Amino acid sequence: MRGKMEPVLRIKDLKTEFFTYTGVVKAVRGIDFSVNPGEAVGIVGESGCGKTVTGLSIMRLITYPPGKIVSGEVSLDGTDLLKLSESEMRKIRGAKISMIFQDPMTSLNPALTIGFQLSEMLILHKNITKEETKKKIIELLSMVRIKSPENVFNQYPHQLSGGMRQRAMIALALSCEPKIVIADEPTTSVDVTIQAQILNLLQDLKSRVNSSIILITHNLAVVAGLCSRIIVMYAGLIVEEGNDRQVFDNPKHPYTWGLLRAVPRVDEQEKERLSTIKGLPPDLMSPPKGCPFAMRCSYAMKICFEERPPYFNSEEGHRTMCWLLDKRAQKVKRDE
Amino acid sequence: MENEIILEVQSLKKYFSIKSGLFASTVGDTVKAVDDISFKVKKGETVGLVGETGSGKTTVGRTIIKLYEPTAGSIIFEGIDIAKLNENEMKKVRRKLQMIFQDPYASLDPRLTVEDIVKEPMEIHNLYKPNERKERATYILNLLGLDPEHLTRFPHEFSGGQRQRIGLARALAVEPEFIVADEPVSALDVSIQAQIINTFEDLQEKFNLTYLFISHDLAMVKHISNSIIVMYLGRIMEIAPSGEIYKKPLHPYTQALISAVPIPDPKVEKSRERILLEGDISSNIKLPKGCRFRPRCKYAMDICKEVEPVLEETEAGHSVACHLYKK
Repeated sequence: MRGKMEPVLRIKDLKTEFFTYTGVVKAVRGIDFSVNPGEAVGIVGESGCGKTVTGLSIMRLITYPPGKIVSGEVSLDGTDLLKLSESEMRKIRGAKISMIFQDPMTSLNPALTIGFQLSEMLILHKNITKEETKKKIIELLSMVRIKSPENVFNQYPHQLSGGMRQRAMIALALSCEPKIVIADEPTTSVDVTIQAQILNLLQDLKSRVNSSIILITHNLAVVAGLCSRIIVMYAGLIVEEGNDRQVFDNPKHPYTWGLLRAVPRVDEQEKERLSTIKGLPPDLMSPPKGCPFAMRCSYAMKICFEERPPYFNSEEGHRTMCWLLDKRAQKVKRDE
Repeated sequence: MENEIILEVQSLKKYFSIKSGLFASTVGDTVKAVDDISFKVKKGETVGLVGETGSGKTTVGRTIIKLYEPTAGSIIFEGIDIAKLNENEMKKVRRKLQMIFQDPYASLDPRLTVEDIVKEPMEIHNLYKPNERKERATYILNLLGLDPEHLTRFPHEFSGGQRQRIGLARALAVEPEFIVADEPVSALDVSIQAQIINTFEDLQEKFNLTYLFISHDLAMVKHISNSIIVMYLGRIMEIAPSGEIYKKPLHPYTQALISAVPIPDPKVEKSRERILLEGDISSNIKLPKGCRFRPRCKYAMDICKEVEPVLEETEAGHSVACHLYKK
C-alpha cells in the first residue's frame, strides 16, 4: 500500500506542550504518522497519553495559553496547517478536516436547533441557498439514520437521546464531506447497543463518503472492527504502529501486550484472571529520559532506563519503540 | 458448600411519580423504574446486572440497600424482610449491606481526609474502640494496595483508580457481607479497570463477600459474575449462569447485547455478523402493551403485542421472559 498512494495527512515531529504554573507538561513529544485516503487509523492509549491532544493539535484547537504546538508539521494535501493564519485555518476546519467530540451534550449548542447548527457549517463553507441547505441537512440526517429528520431539524439537543445527538454530531462533521474526520472517543458515553450502531454507521460512511477516519479511543476492541491501522500511544509518544493484524496478532511492545490482556473478552471460554499493568503513566512534566514505559515494564533492561529506544521495524509498516527488538537483547516471549 | 441464599428479592417494584407544578402534588404519570422483579443471590457469589441506560439496574441496586423506599415487594436479607424495616432498624442491617458508587469523584467528601472517610462508617455503627479505628483503617488501606501515609490526604490528591479503592475501603471498614457495586469501573481506564476487578475478586475470596455487580459492560460482568441478570425497562428478560450467557443467549435482547460488544480481535470483529438494535430504549412512562422489548425485536409475533411474557425457567438456573420459548 505504501508508496503507491500519496497520504492525505502527514504529521512530522509534532510536539505540543502546556505551560502551566507548576511547569511545562509535554503532552505530545514528537510523533510522526500519516493517513492515506479512505483509510481508518485508530489511536489507542490510556488517559493522559496524548491522544486527544494529538487530535486537537491537528485541528489547531489548542488554546494558548496554556497550550502550544511547539514544533512539527501537519500537512494536509501538502499544505502545512501549522503555518496558516487563523482565518485561513477557519476555511479548512469543518470543510476539509472535521472532528467528532466525545461528549455530544457539551459539544452541541443547547440554545440552537440541530438544523441551525448544521446549516451554520454549510453556509460558512458552501455557497448555497437556504432551501438547498435545508434539503442537504435533511439528507445528511437521514444518512446518519435519524428517523423523521424533518422533525429533528427543528429540535434542540436536549430533546434528543445520547445516541441521536452523537449521530447529529456525525452529520455535522460530515456535512462538507471532509477529507479527514477525527473521532475522539465517539462511543465512550453511550450504551453498547448504541456504540454498535455508531461504529456501524462510521464504517458505512467511510465507504460512502470516502473520508479518512482517525478514531481515538482507549478501547482496543472498538478499533478492531473499523480500523486497518493501529497506533498505540504512551506518554506522548507512538510506541507501536502497524496494521490491524500486526498489532493484534503479533504485537511487539510490552505496553500493547498489557493493553490487550487487561480487557476481558465476552467470548472468553474459561475465566482467567485479568492481567494488569502495574503503576501509573509517568509525569509528563519531567518525563523519564529512557523508555517512558520502563518503570512499569516487567521486561525492562538497564538500557531502557538510560536511553529512549529508536523505532525497530519488524515487518513492512510495523514499527515499535522498544529495546527488546534490538539484536543484542535477550529474546522474550509474550505471556499469553 | 455455598448454597445458602443471602438475598432474595420478591416482586420488587419501584415507581417514581412525576410531580410538577406549583403545588407539586399532581400524581399523573409514574415512571416504572423497577417493575416486579424477583431473583436470588447465593452467599459468596457475584450476580451481575446488565442492561442499557434506563433499564432500571441502578434503581434495583439502590432499592435493595433502601436508599430508595420500595413501592412494593420484599427484600429478604438473611431471613429478614428489610423492605418493611424502619430507618432505625435498617441502620443495623446496613452495616452488612454496603454500596460502591459509579463516580469516584462525586462519591467522596472532598473536605474529609481519607482517614475520616474510612473511619466515618465505623463511628456511625459504633464498631471498634475509638482508639482502634485508625489501626483498622490502616489495615484496610494496606489490603487495598494503598499506602497508610495516604490517611492524611484528601480525595482530590488521588487518581480515579485510587479513589475507587478508597470507596471500597470505606465499604469494607464495617465488615459488610453484601456489596452492591454500581458501575464501579466504568469511569476508569482499561488497565486500571483490571486492577480494581482483581481487587474485587481477591476480597471476595478473603472475606467471603457477596456482590451485586451492576454494569453495562457485558464482557466485564461476564468475567466477574457467577450468574447474570439482564434487565430491560424495569423487567428481567433473562437470568443465566455466566458461562451460558455467551454460548446460549435465549432472549433476543440478550443476543443483541452480546452481539454489540466489540471483541479485541480484528479477524473475529471484521467477519462478525452484528445484530443491530434499531433505535433507543423506549420511555418507561408509556410502556408498550405486551412485551416491552417488542418495538425493537425482530422476532416479534402477534402474541407479543398482547401478552407480556413472564420469566420461566428453561433449564436449571436459566430463565427467560419471551414467547419464543413458551412450551
